[in-house]
Amino acid sequence: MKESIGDRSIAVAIVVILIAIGLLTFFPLYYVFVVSFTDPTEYLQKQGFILFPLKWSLASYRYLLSTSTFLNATSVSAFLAIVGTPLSLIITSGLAYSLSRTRFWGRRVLLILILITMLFNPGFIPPYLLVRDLGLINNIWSLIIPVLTSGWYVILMRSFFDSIPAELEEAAMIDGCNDIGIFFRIMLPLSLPALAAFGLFYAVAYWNTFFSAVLYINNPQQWPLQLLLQNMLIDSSTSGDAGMTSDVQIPSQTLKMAAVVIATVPILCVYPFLQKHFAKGVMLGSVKG
Amino acid sequence: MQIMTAQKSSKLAAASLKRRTAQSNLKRDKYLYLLALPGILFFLVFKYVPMWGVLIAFQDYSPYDGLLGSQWVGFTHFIAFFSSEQFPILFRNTLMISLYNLVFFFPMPILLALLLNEGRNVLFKKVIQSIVYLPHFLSWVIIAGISYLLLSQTSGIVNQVLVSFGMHKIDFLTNSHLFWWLLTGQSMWKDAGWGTIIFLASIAGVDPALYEAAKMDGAGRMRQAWHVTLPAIRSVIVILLILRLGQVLEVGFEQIYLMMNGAVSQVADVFDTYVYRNGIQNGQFSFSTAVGLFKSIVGLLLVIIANRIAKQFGEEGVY
Amino acid sequence: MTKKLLSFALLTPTILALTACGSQPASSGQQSAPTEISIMTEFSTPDAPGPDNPVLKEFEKRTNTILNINWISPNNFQDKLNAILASGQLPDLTKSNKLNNPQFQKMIQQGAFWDLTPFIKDYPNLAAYPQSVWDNTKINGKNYVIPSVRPLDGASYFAIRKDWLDALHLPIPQTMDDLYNDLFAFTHNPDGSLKPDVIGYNMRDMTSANAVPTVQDIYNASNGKWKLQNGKLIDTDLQPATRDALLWLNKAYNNGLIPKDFAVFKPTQAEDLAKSNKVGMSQDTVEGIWRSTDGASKIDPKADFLPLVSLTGPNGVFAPRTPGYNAVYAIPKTVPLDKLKKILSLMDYGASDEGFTLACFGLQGPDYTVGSDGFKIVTDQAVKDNISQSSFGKIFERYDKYLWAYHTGMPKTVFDRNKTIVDAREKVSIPDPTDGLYSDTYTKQGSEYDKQISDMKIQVIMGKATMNDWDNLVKKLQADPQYMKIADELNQAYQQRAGK
Repeated sequence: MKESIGDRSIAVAIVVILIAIGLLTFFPLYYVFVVSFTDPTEYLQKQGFILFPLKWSLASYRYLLSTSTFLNATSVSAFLAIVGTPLSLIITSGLAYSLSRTRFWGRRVLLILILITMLFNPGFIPPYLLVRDLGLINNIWSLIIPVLTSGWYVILMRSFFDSIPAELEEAAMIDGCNDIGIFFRIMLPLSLPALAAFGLFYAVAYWNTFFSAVLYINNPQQWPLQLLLQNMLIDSSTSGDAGMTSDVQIPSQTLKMAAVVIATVPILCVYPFLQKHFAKGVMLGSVKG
Repeated sequence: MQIMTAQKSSKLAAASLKRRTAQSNLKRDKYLYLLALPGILFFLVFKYVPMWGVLIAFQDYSPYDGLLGSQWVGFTHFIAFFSSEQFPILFRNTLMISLYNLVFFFPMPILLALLLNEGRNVLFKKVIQSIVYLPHFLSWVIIAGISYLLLSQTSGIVNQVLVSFGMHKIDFLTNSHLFWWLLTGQSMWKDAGWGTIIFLASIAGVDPALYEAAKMDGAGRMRQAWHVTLPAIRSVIVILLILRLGQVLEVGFEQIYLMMNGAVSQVADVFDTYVYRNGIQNGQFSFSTAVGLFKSIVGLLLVIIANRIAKQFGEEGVY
Repeated sequence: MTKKLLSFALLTPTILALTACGSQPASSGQQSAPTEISIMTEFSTPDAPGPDNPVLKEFEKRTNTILNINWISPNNFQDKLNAILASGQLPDLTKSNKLNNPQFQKMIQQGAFWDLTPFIKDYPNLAAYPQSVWDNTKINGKNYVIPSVRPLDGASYFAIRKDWLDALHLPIPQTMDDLYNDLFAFTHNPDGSLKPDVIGYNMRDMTSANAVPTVQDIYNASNGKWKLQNGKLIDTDLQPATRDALLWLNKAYNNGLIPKDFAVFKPTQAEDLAKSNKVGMSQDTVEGIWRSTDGASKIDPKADFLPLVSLTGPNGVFAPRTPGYNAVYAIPKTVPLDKLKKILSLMDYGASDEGFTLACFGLQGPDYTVGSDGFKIVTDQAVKDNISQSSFGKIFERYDKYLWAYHTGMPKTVFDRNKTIVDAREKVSIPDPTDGLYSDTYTKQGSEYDKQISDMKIQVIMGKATMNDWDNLVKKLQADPQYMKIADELNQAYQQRAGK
């Protein structure tokens, strides 16, 4: 079909806008990358005015990777994302699916009860005591179990299940499937796009685990990456031992940015895979529609 | 449709039958309940058990005495908070930051999703998507670090570029007129791209026949987007908007805390930073819980109101 | 093999030292089962020492203990401490970075911790801490805590580029006017021997509680907000001298002596500027400034930050004295008496010469060697194992007057100069009279007031608020009964302590 001139110019405008947005988003990331590879002395001399380093330096990376903690923390964060995400998806989708069925008796009450939990925040002491009483302090599961699902995701996912027609379910029921069978054999495959999206949400949340680790993990060997990063990026000399400055290693700007890059690399590695999976999910979703 | 029939039938059921219906429903749908069980247990244990913590808002809580041993003080902490001279400032800042977010940030993912949807070249779209999703993975700590790196007056590259073009340096980080924009800009950079996922997913679910029909009617791309795409994602927008409204008093603590400084604190101090200083740093557990409770109640009211309005406009709402 | 021999050689005198300490491990000579001790502390090394750290193992061996150390990063220390205090399950040795933490204070009042007063004299190394430090950490006249002892002199103060002064033929500044002229000369030097984008003073001392502590202190000749005047504590924030300090800073800001966006600076950023050879004056401890000198000398080999001994303001000579401790350790009552003594002897060992060396430097050989100048040279292994004053040195401390004169990598000439600076400071330095005094109102509301005052200072310096705004704030505070109550409470506490 022929396109009108108006449509043409709109198409061009869209491309231009998208490129502009892409560049704006990309530049800070590029800059971080460049700074991380700059020689620390060159950085100090040029006061950060670097678009391309004179000499690529691996000094910051060499230093970071020489500490075992960094790799340790990365594997903790990876464990959280890899183990936590499927668990979260099963629990969230199970509850969300049940709540999306109108025959589920008591669903309105449950929904309201769940909504309330999204709004009342009891602070951090009561959850801390609970985790302690469950014997999870210093246990890596304390970073997964208390955040397995959230009201926000249950409610959002429920609206996805809402869109799946009830006839499918009825047909399966006639075929002798029970609810669990229907859920795993029909509903989950049908909602792959939603699962992919929520899987990403959860994976990111697990990857960025921070404050609960502050509270529940005493052993620095079990720190997730974000806690380590915070220690490097945020000034510790303000809150720490003000006078006792002997050999406190203050990470330079280049070292900080190298840490940022390393923390982002694992994401970049799984990123294409996730995106492909996600795209597939979206396609399935459109077939379904 | 379904909901309406269900509501009707439940209304019709006689009160005396209600119990029996409940029991038989439970029996009939036992596998459905089994599916929901882990989730329900989670909410009970991890969301409802700690809720006793809310009670300390009405106490002079001392950890050593515990919940039972601490002295009850009624609404003292609430009164102290509302009458403090900080309250109006905190309220204004929280509300304004939220408003900036709602007006300038919230529509961004929708616009971006529409733009991406219109993009033709698959590879181009993919590249742009990959780029704009990426910042979402960065924590606020990192983003604050990057912001300082880019925007500071002493060594920020943006200002150095401005100077090299013969312009004046701009005090991005210490100008109280720019602070709310700074926060909104950061949020956009971080999450506008990521936010498109949910909209793109629902756009992908739109029946292609609808577009064909619109084309037949002679609708251009703008009109197609307006008349087909937008209505298709309307319910998602409404749900997100309702939930967002409930979070009006929840402005990103970490972000603000990291970007706040003495020159902008008049416009930067919000409930959360206040609670952090008083509650966590000074150990005033009861006082900070009271402030948190106040926030929760306002949030709950806002969600209820927004949900009402949504329903009146024919949307399904959150509950 | 050599390692084994060495540790054996070190072990023998240790057992002797332990038995000689009078802490008497129940049956003399007999090898009793090691005592398990849990410790909660902080670290500011790049990583926390691991459970198989050689220094940890050595401490356990030498003191017959099993140490479960919970290392917490200073960034999260306050949150974690509050959670642990709230849980009621305290480690055997609990660190609080502030004596004034309200929860901590409350729990001491409620009797949650041991009163250590009767025991301290039995532990000679702990008892050797300066008396003023023990006095200042008393609560209700009793010692509930073991201070993390620190030198009294060598505190954070101005340090100026001596090489730049020399290049411009300027003497070492004595007054604030001198200082202003020097900084002005650095940034506007007529002969152009310095770079044009030099910053006078990097404001490294800015904290969240006070944007301009050092300048304000010099103008008031007071160490901190509270000044002792005629036997009474007065609030320097309300004094005209602080107003003058702000005028000085505002002038400096307007003339480009201070970075335009100092308000967002973190101390490390300010320090980075100093390291990049762009700053005429920075602020740090006598030894800490070495990092800046070291960094800047990579760009300009002549770079030399000279820590000033003192400066004279309108109210007299001022140099700060530290409280002599930076954090405190307490032992909960749930610990039985026998174990309490064991913990105290552990801390006493850590305060011995030998124990402190082990904590800060590790073992001679694998962790450090002694150079010809008598300085210990730390090996890469020690750095890797995070053996440092910033890890184990935060638990085990010995009082050493010159601790803040030496920094790793420093040449002996600088160390000797620093020692003379510490000695000179000792004669004039002023302590903070409110050390160890507790005001309930201040602990609860103080940080809000501090923030309000500090924010206004920043705005006045930057010209975003006027001197008039400042005067109005002072008037408002004077009329605020809750604010004025802080002064009353502190004065009361001061009189009470003085009376004893």
